[in-house]
Amino acid sequence: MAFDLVSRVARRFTCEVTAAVIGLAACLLPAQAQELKIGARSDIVIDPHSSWAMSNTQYFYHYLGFMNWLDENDKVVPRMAKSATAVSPNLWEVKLNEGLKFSNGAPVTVNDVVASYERARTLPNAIGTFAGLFAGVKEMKAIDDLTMHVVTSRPYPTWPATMTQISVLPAEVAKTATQADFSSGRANISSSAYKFVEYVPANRLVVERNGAYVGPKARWDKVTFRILTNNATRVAALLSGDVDMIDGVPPEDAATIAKDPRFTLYTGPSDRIIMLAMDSSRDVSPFITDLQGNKLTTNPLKDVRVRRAMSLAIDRELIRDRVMDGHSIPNNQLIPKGLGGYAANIPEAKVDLPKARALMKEAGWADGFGIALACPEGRYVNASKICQAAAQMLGRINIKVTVEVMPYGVFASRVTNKTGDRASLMLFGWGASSSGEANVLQNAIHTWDKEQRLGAWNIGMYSNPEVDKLIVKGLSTLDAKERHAIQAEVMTKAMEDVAAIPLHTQVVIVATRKGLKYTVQANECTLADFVEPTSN
Amino acid sequence: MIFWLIQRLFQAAFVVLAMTVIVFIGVSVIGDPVAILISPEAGPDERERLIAALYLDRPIWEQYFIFLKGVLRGDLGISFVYNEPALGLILMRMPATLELAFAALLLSVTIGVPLGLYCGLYPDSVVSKAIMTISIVGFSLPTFWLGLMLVLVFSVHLGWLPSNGRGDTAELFGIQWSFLTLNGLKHLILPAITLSLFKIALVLRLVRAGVRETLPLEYVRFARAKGLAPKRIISVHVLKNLMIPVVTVVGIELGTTIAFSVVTETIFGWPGMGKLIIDSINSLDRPVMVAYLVIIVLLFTTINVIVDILYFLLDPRVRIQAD
Repeated sequence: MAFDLVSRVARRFTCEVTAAVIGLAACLLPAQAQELKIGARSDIVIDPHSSWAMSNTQYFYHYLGFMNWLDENDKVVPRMAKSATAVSPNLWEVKLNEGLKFSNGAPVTVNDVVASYERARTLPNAIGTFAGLFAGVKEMKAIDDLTMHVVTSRPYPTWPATMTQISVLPAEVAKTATQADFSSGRANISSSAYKFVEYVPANRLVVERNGAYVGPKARWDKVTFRILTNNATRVAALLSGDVDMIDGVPPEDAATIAKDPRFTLYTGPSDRIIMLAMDSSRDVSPFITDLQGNKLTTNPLKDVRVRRAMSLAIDRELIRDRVMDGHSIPNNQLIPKGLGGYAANIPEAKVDLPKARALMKEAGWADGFGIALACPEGRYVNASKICQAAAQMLGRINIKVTVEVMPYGVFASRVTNKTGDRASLMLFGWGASSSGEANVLQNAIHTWDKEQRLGAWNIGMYSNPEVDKLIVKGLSTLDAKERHAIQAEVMTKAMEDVAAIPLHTQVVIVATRKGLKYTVQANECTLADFVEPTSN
Repeated sequence: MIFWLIQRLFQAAFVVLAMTVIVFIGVSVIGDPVAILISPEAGPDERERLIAALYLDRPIWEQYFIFLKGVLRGDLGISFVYNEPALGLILMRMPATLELAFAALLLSVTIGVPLGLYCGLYPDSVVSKAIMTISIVGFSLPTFWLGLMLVLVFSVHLGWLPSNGRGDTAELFGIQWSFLTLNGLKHLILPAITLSLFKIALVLRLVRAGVRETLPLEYVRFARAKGLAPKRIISVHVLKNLMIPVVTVVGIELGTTIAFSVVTETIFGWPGMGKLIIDSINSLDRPVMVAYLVIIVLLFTTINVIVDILYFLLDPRVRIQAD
């Protein structure tokens, strides 16, 4: 007792001396709460199972448990799961870590996982439904508290990646929770590093450290996401010191922020690739005309030489330097470098006008033709500017392009309406976050097949039986290395045939105040625990 | 008076109904909400199930009647995006917008009326001419530019005021308000000024014109001849009479500010209804769009009724007519 008192006095004394010598801050610092304020580009749909989009998942990663996570390079890493093993081609055995707890103190069991996954699969009226992820899943069952079996009707090689997408709630919550329970926070029971504090729609999301979490301790006591969807507002919030960091920095502002000694800019490649899709299947494409504006009775895009010429006419480096202010990575295929399915043997996509013109002449289109480029606004960085640049570049091989900019909603409904006019040339993007590999192939390159759920986003209706066969083979290959090799082979063939024209990999741009360091996430998520204070 | 009020309410109800028809047809021709909201990797069966769940496979008139049936139960539809009742979403954001609109209104009246009065009474003074010239600027500056400039100067360069958001709020009548806390007031200043500059100029000019028009009138001269104090002449006889056009314009302006302060709310990250409607248009969230416009029409008709009642109190001629 006496010793205790002495030591307390001594400690106090030391503190006072320190305060006198070094300053009050040194004494107060340990007691001060570490708070991080992030200016975020996207709002949240607060029910974790109602809208499948990475822009929502990034928030759930903070305050809800996930079986697996994606690391900064889109690799699947275990989170609550201990392991996931393919016992047989149609059976995954998933093991849960021991001793996991929810923020309400209850232990995490496989029953919670199964109930949560069932909710994601069947939630009525979920507009961004997760149901697609469960296609081919016959049954999910708890073998014991820590073992789950997932029975599929065909091989499901990317099941571990699927588990990075769906949040886990306690079973009783998953079975009863309504939308209102998530808004109020009652249902947001965490088994992650942070826990939910409050959500004010269109305003802010606040999370704080979850003491019950057994994994690595959260880096911050409290994190506030200020939802600032307008680019200029977000940048102003950083510049005026209202927030510590912002995501989605517009490329045109990046240079100004980088030059300012008060801030640091962090950039890195995302998993999203921007491309031009072409109508290469119809005999007559409705938005292709001759130079006088009369509709053509043939479709020049069916000729691979024309498609190749178009790809050769586009100067991706110029787009990077002039349109994207240096913030894009020219790409020669439909998957960013480093992800599964990337083919190293594909030649670099370089501009070559003489060759492009020669190809056009050879194909009989030396005089060119007119075409409309459908361009979605509001989804990809600088979309309309990229479209205008591409249009001018294609003009150099006598293809007269008119750019039609439209909201993404209008664009998406028009190009996916398989019975409508669709479009002849489209700007389009694809992110690989849900699998961390070239899933663009089965979704946007495989021939449209309603029953097999393939090619739903093949908006150019490209079709190549040889490529299709290989894609299907890859889909049922469990071994990742082998599968990626097949995907790379498909990619090589598809690029050889110019199934689409890759432009660049989009870049993630994040800015922080001085004194913070951020590790950029390829899946475009903004995660608080990847922000660390530096010494200065 | 009561008969007149009932008549106005019936008119308002009809306007709301007609508006819902127009909006319903309008929103259903601009693209397919399912295409934008469903995940790119969802299969065709999920898509079809969803289309059926949202009644999007029914003909438009049937969708409209489903909507009307809901309205009778006080349900304006469920937001496609948030999966929450559209009405609740809008009402939740309404206090923020109302607060901003009334702050702007207060500024425009407390600054615009005295300045206008001064300019009307002393039209030839240098100060008046300067005020009138500056008011042209107030008229012509686009709000988004003004807002951005204010942020640049007062938040980014000087660092005096926060650049966005509502700041701390305090509860009154069960609703969160910014103007009750110092921090919240600080957040309110810039957006309120941005919204009010145009209105100050408008009120100022209306008041000035009114004063110039009223001063030479017979009754003012008579009052003066009777020996009334100038203060009383101006405050009772002049000001009361010229308030009629001012009240009309301010009423309409209040309505437009509440309904369409979209730009200001976006620039200042103000979590009001304007931001919600823009987001809803971008994501083709039809129920929210329709519910929003229904509420706005209700709001405008209410404001018009209030303006009419104010006429009643301000202008004896209207009272005589109604009787």
